[in-house]
Amino acid sequence: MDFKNITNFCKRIIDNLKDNMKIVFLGGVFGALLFASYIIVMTGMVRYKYTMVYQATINTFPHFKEDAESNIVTEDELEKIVCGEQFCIDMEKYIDNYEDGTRYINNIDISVLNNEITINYCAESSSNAKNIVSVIYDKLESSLQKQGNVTHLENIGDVNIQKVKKRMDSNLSIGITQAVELGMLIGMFVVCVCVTIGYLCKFNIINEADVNKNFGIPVLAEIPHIIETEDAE
Amino acid sequence: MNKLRIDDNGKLDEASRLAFKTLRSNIEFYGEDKKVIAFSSCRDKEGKSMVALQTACEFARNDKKVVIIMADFRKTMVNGKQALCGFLDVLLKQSAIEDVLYETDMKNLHLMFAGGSLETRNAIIDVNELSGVLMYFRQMYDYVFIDMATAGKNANDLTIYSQCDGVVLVVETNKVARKLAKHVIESVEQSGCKVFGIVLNDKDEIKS
Repeated sequence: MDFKNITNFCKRIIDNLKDNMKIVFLGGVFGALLFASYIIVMTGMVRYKYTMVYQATINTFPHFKEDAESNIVTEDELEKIVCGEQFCIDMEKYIDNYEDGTRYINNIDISVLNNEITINYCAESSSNAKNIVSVIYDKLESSLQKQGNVTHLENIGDVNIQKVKKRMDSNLSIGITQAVELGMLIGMFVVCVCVTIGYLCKFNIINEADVNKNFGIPVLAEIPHIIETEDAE
Repeated sequence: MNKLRIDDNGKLDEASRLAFKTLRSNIEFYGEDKKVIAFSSCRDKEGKSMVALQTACEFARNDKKVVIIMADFRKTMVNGKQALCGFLDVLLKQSAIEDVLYETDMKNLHLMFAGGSLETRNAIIDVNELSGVLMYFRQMYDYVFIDMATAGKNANDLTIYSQCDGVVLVVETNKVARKLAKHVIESVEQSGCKVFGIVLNDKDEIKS
């Protein structure tokens, strides 16, 4: 293919794009929408899914030493313990798919009201939820004991299990850079596909059969050469 | 009569010459009473003027007396200079037909430029005057070819079409959208003129 042919080929593609601006526009819009939705999904704006899980709840009451400096357990204090590095490491062996403590931290919920501690833990199965909430209870008790004020935790009733709807990580999220790159690639791919379809779908008059089919008038002649358009003038 | 030298199709290869012969046969097929034929196109630079000229040459070579009339009034200026007087001046009664008609170096082929000026090129032509001028040409020539402006670019298009016996639409292969071509054909037919057919130009480019 010589230079002239390449130039002609490029010219033809540009002309065709001009002729099929609607398709190009639709392709662009579609590509942009796909690109946007991809980024939204992948960067976490819609990265959660709601699932039915089993929530195990245990209520405890701390007993304090007689010479304790404080006989109150605060929520901040509990949060520091359960979010602490050592606690996470300790929980690792009990929880499947443990990843940097994220999964564990997201599924645990501890609250304090009038010194009554409520520990909630959500898991896909009831037995798992029950086991892990017991582990958390044990670890929490030993952590509080280490701090010096608490002697032990007293259970108030049994572990309560109920099925709840919970927002969970969908495990879909990826980095924003990757999302942008992939989104752009997909967007560009869609645009290219649309433009190619527009080009191949023969929106233009191409041959005798095409004229007969679309206009019902004859082709009087097919001039094989590129006719220069200079006027006789 | 003024004289003019034109390029005939000496530069064309055999396939192109054959294509113009085919075009001549197809136009003749519509009957000898179809004398005034307009050449139009959907877009600029589709080779309409050259197809009209080469077709006229082909008829002239076949001993038909032909006049080709340029009717693209947008081209009243050539290279920044006022173009020669022509068709529009005749229609506006500013020139006589004989003064603006050119004899060419090809036997049986005469030519008339579009004429007009920047002031007159948008003038609305009188249909009776047009009819009278074309009647003159009908009597004097076997065929009258009118090289029109690109469809929709001239306010007088429909008036001229209405006085023609047929229109040949020059279409550059794979360049013209079907929708546009359909629109042009419909607008020509609205004027009461029959579209004889389409000449597909630049056919080889597809194959390459």
